[in-house]
Amino acid sequence: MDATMEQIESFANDDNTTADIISCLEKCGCCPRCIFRFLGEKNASSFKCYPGSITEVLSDMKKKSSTQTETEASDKTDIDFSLSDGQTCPACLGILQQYLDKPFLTKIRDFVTEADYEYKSFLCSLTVPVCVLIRERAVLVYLRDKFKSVYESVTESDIARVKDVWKWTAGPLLGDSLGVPFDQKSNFDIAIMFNYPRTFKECEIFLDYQPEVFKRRKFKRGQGELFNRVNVAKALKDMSDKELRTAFQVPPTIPKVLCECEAIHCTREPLYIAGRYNKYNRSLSQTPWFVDGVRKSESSVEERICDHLKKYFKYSDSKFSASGREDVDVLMLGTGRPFVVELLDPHKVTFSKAAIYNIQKEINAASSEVQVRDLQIVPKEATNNLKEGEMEKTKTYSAFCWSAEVLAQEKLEELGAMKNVVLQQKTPIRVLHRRPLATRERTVYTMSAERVDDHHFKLNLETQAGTYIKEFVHGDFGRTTPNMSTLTGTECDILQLDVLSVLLDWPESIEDR
Amino acid sequence: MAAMEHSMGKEEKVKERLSVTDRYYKRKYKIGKTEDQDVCVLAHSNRVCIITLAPSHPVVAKKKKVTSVSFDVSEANRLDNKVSGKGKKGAQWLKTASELCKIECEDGENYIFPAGLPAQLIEINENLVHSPCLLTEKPHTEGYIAIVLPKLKEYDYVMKRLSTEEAFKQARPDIT
Repeated sequence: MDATMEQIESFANDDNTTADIISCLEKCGCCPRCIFRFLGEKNASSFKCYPGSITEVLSDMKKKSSTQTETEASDKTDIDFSLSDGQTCPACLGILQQYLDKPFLTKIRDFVTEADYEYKSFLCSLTVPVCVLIRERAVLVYLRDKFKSVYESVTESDIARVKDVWKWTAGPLLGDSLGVPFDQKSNFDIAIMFNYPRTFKECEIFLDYQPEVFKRRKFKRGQGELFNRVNVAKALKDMSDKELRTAFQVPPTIPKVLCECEAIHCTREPLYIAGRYNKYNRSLSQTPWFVDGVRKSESSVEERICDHLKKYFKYSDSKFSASGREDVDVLMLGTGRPFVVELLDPHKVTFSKAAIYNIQKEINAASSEVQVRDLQIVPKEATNNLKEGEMEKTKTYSAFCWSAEVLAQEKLEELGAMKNVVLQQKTPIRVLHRRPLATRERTVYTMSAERVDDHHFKLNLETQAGTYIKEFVHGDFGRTTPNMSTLTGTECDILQLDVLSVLLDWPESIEDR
Repeated sequence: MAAMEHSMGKEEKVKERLSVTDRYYKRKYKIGKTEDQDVCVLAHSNRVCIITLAPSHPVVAKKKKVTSVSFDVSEANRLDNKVSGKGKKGAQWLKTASELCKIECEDGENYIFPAGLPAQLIEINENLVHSPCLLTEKPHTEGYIAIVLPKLKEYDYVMKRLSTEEAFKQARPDIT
């Protein structure tokens, strides 16, 4: 793009002053792009051209000056650090120089290609060394000294940021070499971290001038660096130009070292997979179960599902959650229990409905103990549906029970006639070690009992969410009342439990092929 | 591995049924100097313990008629016990010999029942106040005395100091 066609912004109103400003910035050692920035240019397209063109534009603008720059502006005491080969710009520390050149961009491209992600667009997040903030301020202060009327009301926010200029320039170039567009709303991020080894030394002076801002907060978790964007920006804001001149070098020194690219890191936003699972085994926990580092159940529903998902989506970590859960020794029958898995940083994300269906088939073929249905990718917002079901919805169960005495048919029918039995359930002893002691009111909406033999019967129930079924049957030392023993008049026990249904309309049901 | 069952089959379940107590709890005993200090501790695998009368305790062994159970003992009123949160804050702390309750019988005999192990008092069985007969009718289920939680750090040590079923049978051979 030919920048000469565009009108270059300048804080100064006339070409003469503009030319002087350009000379001044050149003598400081600023690179062409930084000169554009400090002139006031904020138009992305102006930066998207080769450095050669920018230099040309600048020399054109200097020529416009009617006065001789050599004689007029030449102050014997002025230092001249005009950019020579390999010299690093004191304002951007090289980020808008070498790090916009082809070799570095190729390095990024190679890194991203090797990371092997699937993406249709990308965005970049840059981490710029904190001392750039100080250096930019120093340049501004210098400009205010030399061109008071032009720069006295100019602040940092009027100057295009290093980050933005880099993205405006590199974005399209990377997009071309990667073959996908740069998009601010992309969920694939290429993070580039720049580090300047002398940052600490340059910021150290703050400790003398603004010690309160940098007081280490001992109890803050994940404290991070002593000098970060936030507190350095605050300290600078509170410092007057005068103070800055005494504390720092104005104009800023020419850096002896280039800032380095510490890391390039790709991440993709999480993907959410939902479905329903059935559990047909009485020794499988829902999620991996460890006590003191020892595995307590051979496997889990979560692992049975995620082991397969991982192969395809190639994610770094997963978070499994379901709409409630059942004990290890309880089966999950019927249409299954809704669940969602959050896949973190997935490398592969494009799967058609047919492809997802095949993954589901694979999970189901791998073991008959866990079966999955309605497997589908869902948007992040949809995951709220899960917890909704847990608290409000009704659950139905089938319990295989024992009674000490024989229960007559009339007794069984009596049970069937009971509606909305309200229970007072104290926290079951089996969870008392990790739950607070409390009494919960829960309702058994309907029941029906079917005789199996003299001492056994099948009990079907429909209850409020959060009802402890086992405790309702055996009474938990009399701490759940009423219970089956009090309702039948004889000691009862539960031998097996199955969950028949979890009534939640989500996720959407998918017809079998 | 258990056979794949999609619905309730009868054979698997109708094996010898273990009672709830035996399924989830281990019976441990604090053998007192005399039988009236015998405690049966039902220890759940999650560390929670249920304090009950040992079968050798005269109330159980002699099937006494209990007229009242009082939790207002010399150290504190156990009914005042209030716990909150997962950490069971505010619980009364018991020592092995701490008094839990006073049992009064029709024949005039009174018994002070001890905790049996050092632990936090989680819950007292208030049902005993209005149905003291539970002590004799269902001493190891609805007639439990209290629910306690030993300290995590002390748990193994405390459990080791309690006697096993065999040791109890040896100490109290008259009880079947």
